[in-house]
Amino acid sequence: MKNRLQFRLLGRKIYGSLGRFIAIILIIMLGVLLFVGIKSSGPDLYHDSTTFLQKKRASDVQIISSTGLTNRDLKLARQIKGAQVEGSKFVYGTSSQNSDTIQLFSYRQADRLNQLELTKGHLPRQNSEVVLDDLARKQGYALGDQIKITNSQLQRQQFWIVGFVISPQFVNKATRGTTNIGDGSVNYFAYTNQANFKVSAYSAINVHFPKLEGLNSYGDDYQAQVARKVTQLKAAFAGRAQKRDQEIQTAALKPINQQQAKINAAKKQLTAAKQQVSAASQGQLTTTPEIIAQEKSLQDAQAKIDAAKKKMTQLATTTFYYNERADLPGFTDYGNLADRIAAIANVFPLIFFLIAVLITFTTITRMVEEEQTQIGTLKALGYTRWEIAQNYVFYALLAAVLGIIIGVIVGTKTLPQIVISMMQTQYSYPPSPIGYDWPTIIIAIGLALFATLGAVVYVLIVQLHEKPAALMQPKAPKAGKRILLERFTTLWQHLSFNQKVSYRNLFRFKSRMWMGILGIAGGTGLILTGFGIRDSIDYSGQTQFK
Amino acid sequence: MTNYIEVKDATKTYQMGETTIVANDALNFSVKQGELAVILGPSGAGKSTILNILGGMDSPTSGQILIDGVDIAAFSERQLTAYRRTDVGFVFQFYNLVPNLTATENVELASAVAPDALDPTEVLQEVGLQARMDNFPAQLSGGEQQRVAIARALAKNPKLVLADEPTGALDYVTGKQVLKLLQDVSRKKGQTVLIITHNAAIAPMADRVIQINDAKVRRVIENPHPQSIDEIEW
Ligand SMILES: Nc1ncnc2c1ncn2[C@@H]1O[C@H](COP(=O)(O)OP(=O)(O)O)[C@@H](O)[C@H]1O
Ligand SMILES: [Mg+2]
Repeated sequence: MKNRLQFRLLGRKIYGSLGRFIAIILIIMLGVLLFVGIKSSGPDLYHDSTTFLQKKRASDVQIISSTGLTNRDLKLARQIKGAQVEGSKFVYGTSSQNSDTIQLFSYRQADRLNQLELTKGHLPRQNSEVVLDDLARKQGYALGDQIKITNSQLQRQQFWIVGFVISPQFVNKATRGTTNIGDGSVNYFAYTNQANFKVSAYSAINVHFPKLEGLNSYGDDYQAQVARKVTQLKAAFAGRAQKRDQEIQTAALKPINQQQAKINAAKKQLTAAKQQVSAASQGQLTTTPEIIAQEKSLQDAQAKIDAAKKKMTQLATTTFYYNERADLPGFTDYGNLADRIAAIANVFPLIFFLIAVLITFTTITRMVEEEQTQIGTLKALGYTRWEIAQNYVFYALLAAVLGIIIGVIVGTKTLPQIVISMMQTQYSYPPSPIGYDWPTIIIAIGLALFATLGAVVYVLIVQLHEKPAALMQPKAPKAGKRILLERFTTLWQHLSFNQKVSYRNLFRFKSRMWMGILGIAGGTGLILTGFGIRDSIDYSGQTQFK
Repeated sequence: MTNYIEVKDATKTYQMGETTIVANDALNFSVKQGELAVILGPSGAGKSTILNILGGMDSPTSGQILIDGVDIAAFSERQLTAYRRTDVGFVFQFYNLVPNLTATENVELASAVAPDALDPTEVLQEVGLQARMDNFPAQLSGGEQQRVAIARALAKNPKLVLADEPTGALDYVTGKQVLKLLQDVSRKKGQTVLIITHNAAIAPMADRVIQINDAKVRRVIENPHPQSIDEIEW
C-alpha cells in the first residue's frame, strides 16, 4: 500500500507540473544530445576511414623504385611476415579532353589490394576499356565516351569509359597528387587492363598487412606499427639496390656486347681481307679504299658502343622509396580535421552540458524546497528518510533516464551524420557510423545523473536532517539586507522603487544571482565561440591562399 | 492509573543570533493513561513547542520526557522515527494534508506505516466523511480537512493523540464537532489525548488542564467531572 501511494504521489507530481518535468527532460536531453553527438563525431570519422580502407585492403606501404620493380622485389617484400604483396604499374598521360593529366594504373581482376569502389558502370573487362576517377564524372566525362590517353609506354591510346570509381589511394577529393608532365598536378586517376602496358617492370609494390586492418590509420598505434614494418622491409631490401643496378647493366649491356661481337667479327674479316689483298698483290698493296672505308665505319661504331657502355654504368642507380598512407595525396588532412572536431567536442558541448546541469540542479532543488512542509509532514507521520527520499529520487531518475535515452539516440543518429555529410563533400570515405560511443555516453549519463539525482540527494540531505517541527514551520522569508549601493545616498535616492527592490533581491538571493550570471556567461561564451570558430576558419582559408 | 506522560524539567531554547529564546522553561507535569488533557495558554507561551517535543518531532534542550516510562528525550533519530510511526497520532494546526492525495489516501499514508492501523475507510466514516473520501484536500472545507487530519491521526491507532489548536481555524460549530471527535477518542477508546488551545472556555471538557504562560507551567488543574463538549457553550 505504501508503494502504491508512493507511485500515485509520483504520478500526480509529474502530471501536476508536467511543464517542469518535461523541461528537465528536455534540458537533460539537449545536453546529452550535443555532448554525445559532437563527441562521437570524431570517432565516427575515424571509423569511416578504417572501415573503407579495411574493406578495400588499402596498401599500408608502397615501395617505389627509381628503376622500376621486378618479381625479385616482390619476392623480397613477401619475406615480411603477414604481408600481402602485389605489383602495380602506372603511367602519366594527357587526355584528349581538356588536356587533363591522368595517372593511369594497371588493373587485374585478380588484384586484391587497393580495390576500387564502383560508383557507376563496371570494371574493365577488355583492353579497350577504362574506368575513371569519380571526380571526372562531374567534369563532363560520361559512360560510353571515348577517351584518348597519350603515353608512349601504352600499347593503345583509345579507350572507352565503362565505369567511374573511388580508390582508397585517393581519399581527398581536392588533390590527386603531382607529376612532371602538364602543369604538374594530376587531375584524375584511371585504371585499364595491365596488358595495355608495354613495360614489364612494376611502378610500385603494394604491401598490405591484414593484422593492421582494424587500427585507425590516423592513430599513433597504427603509425608506430607501420614504421616497424617499413624497417623490416628496408632490412629485406638491403643490398638490393646494387644488385638491381647490375641487373639493369647486364640487361643493357647484352645488346651492346652483341654489337661488340659483330664489330669484332667484322674487324677479323677486315684483317683477313687485308691479308688477302696483301697476298694477292704480293706485298704491294696493304689495303684498298674499300677496306679503309669499312675500317672507318667500324671505328665509328666502336666509339658509339664505348659511349653507350659508359653511359650505362653511370645511369643505373637504384633508390627505393617506402611510402606510407600518410604520404598519399591529401590523406593526412582528414585526420587533422577529425582531430579538430574532437577538440571542439571537448569544450563546446561540455559548456552547454554544464549549463544544463546547472539549470536542472536549480529546478530540482527548488522543487524539493517547495515541498518542505510535505516532507515535514511525512517525517512527522514516522516515514523514514529513505521512504521520503524515494519519491524524489524516482522523479529525478525518471526525468534523467528519459532525457538520457532520447538524447543519446537522437545525438548519435543525427549530429555525426551532419558532420560526416559535411566531410563527404571533400573526402571519399563512405559513411559507416560506429553507432553508440559508450565511453562518451557513460560520461554523459554520469553528468546527467549528477544534475538530477545529485540535486535531489543534496537538498534531501540538508532537509531530511532537520527535525519535523522545523520543517513544518512555514519558512520565514529570507532577511532583506542593506546593500553597499545604499551608502551612496544620492544615487540610491534617484532609483525607482522597482530598481531598489531588484538590487536588494539580487544580493538577497545570491544563489539565484550566480545561476543567472553563470547561465548568461555560458550562453554568451557559446555564441562567441561559435562566431570565433567561423571567423577563424574563414580567415585561415584567406591567409592560406593569399 | 499510571502516568502515561511525565515531563520533568523540560527546557527548550532557540538560539537566534545573539539572543536566546526560552520557549519552554523547566516544565513539569504529567498526564495519566487515557486522560484527555488540555494545554491552555496565550499565543507564544510555548504550547506548540512542548507538544512537538511530546510528539517526537523535536527534542528538548534539557530535561526528561517519559512516555510510558521511557525517556524519549534520549532517543536517537531512528528511535524517534519509530516512535512517531507507531505511538503518536498528530493533528496539526494547519491540517498539513498532502495536496496530491485524496482524503482516503491521506489517511492511508498514516495507516500504511503503523503496525496496528485501522481501516482508513472506517475511520473516515467515523469522522463523518464517507461522502468525501475521494476528494482532494483542495476540494474540502477547512473543517473537513481538519477531520481528515484527525482521521489520519486516529488511523494509526496510536497510544497518544496530540492536537495543536485543532479548532484554531474553524468556525464555532465545526470546531465543536472536531473537539467532540477528540473527546470521544479518549472516552471510548481509552487513548491518551492532548489538545492545545488558547480558548479557556473549552477547559471544562478535559480531565486535566495544564496552564502554560510565558514558557512556564503556571497551574495544573485536575477535573474529576469533565463536561461533555455538547454542554459547553462559548
Ligand atoms: N524554531 C523556532 N525558532 C525560534 N524561535 C521559536 C521557534 N519555534 C518557536 N519559537 C519561539 O518560542 C516561543 C514559543 O513558541 P510556540 O511554542 O510556538 O508558542 P505557542 O504555540 O504557545 O503559541 C515563541 O516566542 C516563538 O517565537
Ligand atoms: Mg502554537
